[in-house]
Amino acid sequence: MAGTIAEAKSKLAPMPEAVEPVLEVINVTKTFPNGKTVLNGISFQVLPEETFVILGGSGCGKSTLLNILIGVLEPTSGQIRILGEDLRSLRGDRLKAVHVRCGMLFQSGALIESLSLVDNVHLPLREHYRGMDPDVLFETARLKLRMVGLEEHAAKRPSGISGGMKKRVALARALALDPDLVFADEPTSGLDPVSTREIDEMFIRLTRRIGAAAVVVTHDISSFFRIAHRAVMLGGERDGDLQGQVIMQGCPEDFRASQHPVVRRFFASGESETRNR
Amino acid sequence: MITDKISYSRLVIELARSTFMTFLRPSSTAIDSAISQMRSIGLGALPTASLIAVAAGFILALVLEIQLSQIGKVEVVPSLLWIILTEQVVPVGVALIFAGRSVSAVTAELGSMQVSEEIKALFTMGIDVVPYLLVPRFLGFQIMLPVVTLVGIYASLLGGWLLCGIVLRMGIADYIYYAFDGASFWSVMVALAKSALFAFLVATIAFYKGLNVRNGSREISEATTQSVVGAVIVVTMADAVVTSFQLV
Repeated sequence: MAGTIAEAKSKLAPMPEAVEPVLEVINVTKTFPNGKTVLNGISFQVLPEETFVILGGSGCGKSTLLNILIGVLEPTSGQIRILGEDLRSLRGDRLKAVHVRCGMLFQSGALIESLSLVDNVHLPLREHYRGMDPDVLFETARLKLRMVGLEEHAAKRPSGISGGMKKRVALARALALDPDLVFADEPTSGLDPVSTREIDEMFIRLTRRIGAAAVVVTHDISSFFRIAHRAVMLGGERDGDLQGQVIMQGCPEDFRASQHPVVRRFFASGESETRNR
Repeated sequence: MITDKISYSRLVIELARSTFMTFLRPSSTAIDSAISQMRSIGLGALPTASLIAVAAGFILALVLEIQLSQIGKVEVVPSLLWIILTEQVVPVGVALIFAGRSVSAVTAELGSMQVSEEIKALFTMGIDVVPYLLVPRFLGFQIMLPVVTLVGIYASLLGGWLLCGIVLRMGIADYIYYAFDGASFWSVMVALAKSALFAFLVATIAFYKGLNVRNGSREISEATTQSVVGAVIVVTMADAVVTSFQLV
């Protein structure tokens, strides 16, 4: 029964080797039944091992886009290719095989309240590597918790820890299966500046250690400059006809140097918020 | 069921399919989870159900004694108790206890998992929600409701004997003799069949209401109330239908 996680992973998810890019979003539009179009012609790519940020103010559709990328919502039109597979054509075991190669860090953590911290991290390992030695899987879960500095809290329940600790456990869980692609929804929301920096640095260190690409949704400008290789900015509620559309794509320096009024307004308000903290 | 609401019929179909697959290929985690749910859903209800059953047996025996003593037929109290308690009072009573206790708890738990994105998290981890969350709870209801019903039957007969022993000065041996004189294995089978049906109904109502919560704690509270009220109505009406068939 014993064996390495890597061996088991190669048997579990028999998929073609990831081709460049790991994620392609091609002209995605989302219109809800009430007629509101929240995403309009969104296109971008995420390359292997890069951290790609989705930026934007309120109402720009960041969360909707993330829900589409993780397969919870379907786009109205457009295509999403994730790890070489067309997401819209995936069902059942094939969709599960993609999920196994992706990790997700939710804004609130979304830890299972009835499980201890180590059991939360152990859960995806136990469910997807059933033929493996249970002790090996449990040790792997403890190792992941140790990587986020919470091994001594392993037996606690999520209700007994702080918001920042929950995010760290959620990160450990997202990385439990050594994914190729990690999604993160506002990973530093609700945290103080010190904890924000800590989570950002931990996120970058751990995703790069396993060679994963990351797609991070955030409106935190300091986090953006700290973690992003490249980014896309979407228009928000205040941007009129540009709401839900791509305003700009590029690396952080491009955004800093941009003269686009929406970009300048977004960064100006974000920097003033940072100064006032 | 992650973002779109799930219909009752689709829920039942998915549940049936997943339960069948669990029996076909049981895993140790599924078994552990089912045992844990049996403990929380069923064993936790046992003391309450037993206490109420003893009281129900006592009260029914009292009512029967008052009426039958007027025509000098008190010796049939135990056998009437057996028929009424076994086939009607206890299965419905236990189902109603489960509705108030376990249905509300399961609805609230699933609703809160929806609101806090735990169910979405399971989906993104490639874990099927129905086998992981619902099947163990379904088995908890399906196994423990009949078990508690069986215990409740004998607890209610004990309650009946307390009355018969005090008022009629009936010895335990005489009580058992008269009770089982009117008893039949068929009554027990009717009780277990009813409780299995009630278990299916209350469990699926709890799942349906809990999984369809979308917006915050107020909706969790509303869903919990609706699931309890719905379970009570459905159990009562189902009992009326099944009992009608018995008369045919």
